[in-house]
Amino acid sequence: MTAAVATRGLGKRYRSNWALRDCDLVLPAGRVIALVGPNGAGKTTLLQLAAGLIRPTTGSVALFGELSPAESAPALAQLGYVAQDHPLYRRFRVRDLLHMGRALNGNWDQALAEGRLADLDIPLDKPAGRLSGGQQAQLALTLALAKRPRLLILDEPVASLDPLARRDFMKTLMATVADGDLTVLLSSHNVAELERVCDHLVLITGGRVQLAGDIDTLLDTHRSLTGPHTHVPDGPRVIHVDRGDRHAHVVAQVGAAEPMPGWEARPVGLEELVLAYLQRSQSGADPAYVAKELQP
Amino acid sequence: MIWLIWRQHRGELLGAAILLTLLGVLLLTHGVAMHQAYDRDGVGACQLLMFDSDPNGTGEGCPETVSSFDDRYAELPSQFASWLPFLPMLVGMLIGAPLLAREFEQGTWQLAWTQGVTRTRWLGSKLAIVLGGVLAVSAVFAAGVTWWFGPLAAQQFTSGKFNHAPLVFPAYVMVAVSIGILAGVVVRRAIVAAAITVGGYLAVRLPVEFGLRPHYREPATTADPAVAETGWNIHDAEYGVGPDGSTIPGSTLTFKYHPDDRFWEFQLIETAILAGITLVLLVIAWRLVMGRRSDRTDGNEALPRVGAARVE
Repeated sequence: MTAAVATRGLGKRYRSNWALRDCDLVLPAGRVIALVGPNGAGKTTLLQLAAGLIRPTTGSVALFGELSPAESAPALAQLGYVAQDHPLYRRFRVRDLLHMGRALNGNWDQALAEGRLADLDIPLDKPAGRLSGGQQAQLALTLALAKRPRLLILDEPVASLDPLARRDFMKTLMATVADGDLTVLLSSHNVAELERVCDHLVLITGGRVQLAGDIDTLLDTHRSLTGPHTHVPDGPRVIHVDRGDRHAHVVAQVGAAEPMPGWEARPVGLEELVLAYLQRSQSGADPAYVAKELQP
Repeated sequence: MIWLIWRQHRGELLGAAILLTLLGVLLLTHGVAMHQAYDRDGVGACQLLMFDSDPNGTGEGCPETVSSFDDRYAELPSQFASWLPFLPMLVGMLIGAPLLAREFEQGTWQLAWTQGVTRTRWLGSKLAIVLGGVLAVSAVFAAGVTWWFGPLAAQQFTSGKFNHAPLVFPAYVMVAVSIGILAGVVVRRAIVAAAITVGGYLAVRLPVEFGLRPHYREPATTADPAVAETGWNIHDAEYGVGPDGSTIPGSTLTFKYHPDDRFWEFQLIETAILAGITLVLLVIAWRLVMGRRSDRTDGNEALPRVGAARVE
């Protein structure tokens, strides 16, 4: 399996705060990867490290087996990056931004860029700062895609958009991903938003990876259990326990085939699973769960 | 990169063109008229004679010639000479401070650094082209001002002429722009960086101009105040002092001055000082943008920091 992004012992400290610690991840190529976590969890830090925008305090990051793109033009050519709030040179006309892309990128696909903008009814002569939020996001995505990247990183791409623009953005993004072997890594603090489009998940809180793996594998290896609150199971495979008056509700790492006498087991939903790991991380539990086939 | 830099800074380029045009208009109107009157009325010779301590040598009508020339032409250049020292500061605020601060402020650094050019090339081209442009424009500007200020005094060594010579003036502009750039990298806000540029520029300019400049060489001494006036009279006259530090009774007043032919030597010294400051500021800014050494994976994190305060 080719790793689009591989990190080893990756950490970033700002003054005395660790924004990210001990991050060992292998993100497979050709997938749509959701990076999920509450605000301030370290998502942006991880994405900026992957893109070479900031330097790690510890460890290393590699894209497609090579070094970080911080100082390597070939690595930069493989990367499309849309930062949070999709920053653009606001006084540049749309046409100027395309000119910039063409001037700075060897693989620039002008026809793709112009075609996408025409489909989206974004006028080339308007200054970028006068476009709507949704149009600016689409333009930023277009600039990233016209580089013909192998890895597209999007940091909270729809957080600042209204629901309609949000839906349109995700729709065009998925249409792009459908044809081609592009790897997409996108972050959000909203799991539900990503559930339909992603097939791989990384959950991060407090600067640490809590859960990482193929979404189907994660759902297959976890169960939602309901049973008597007097005999609540314990151990590292129990992710979260919610004690009611008569019943306890448990999310545990249990395969579908495993018998659980006395407990009613049903498949777990992605949101429920993420919530269980979030609550576990708040209680201070340590070990992160990494789906087996992805352990580096 | 060149296209991007041109597109980002074409406003400043237009501003520079307007500035040089305005100066050109001033030179063609006031400056040309002043030079013609200077040559026609023999003002230069009279300015020299005014220094002569021998009253018999003073040319007939020279005081009147010089004072009427000054009345007619000196007012405007003198006013410029008093506010032009703030022009480098303004350039630092308008071009230096926002150069990188605006990229950080608006988040566009992330757009710029994920294009197909490395950060080294991006920053190198940006600094080289913008600083090169600023240097060229300020040198041309200073050359024009130097020509304009020429007839105002017989000696070169006036503060108006020294501050706006084509060496020292561009050097002050470069210091101000570098202060703005570094402040912008550190605070990442263009407005705050511009405010810091004001303080930083004055913190360099005032000590250099008034503290260091008179001391680049040991001043020459003379008992004749008129001789001191042929160069830069540093107004530090004193009576002879005995070995015990007391004034020798009956000794004559000694004037200290820098002869006019030290002008270019002083220019070179001050330019070298300012260029050194500029270089240090730019190297610090460069290293901060590229990522501090302590941010890199060099194993330093594993070393305990014993008894040393961490320097941020």
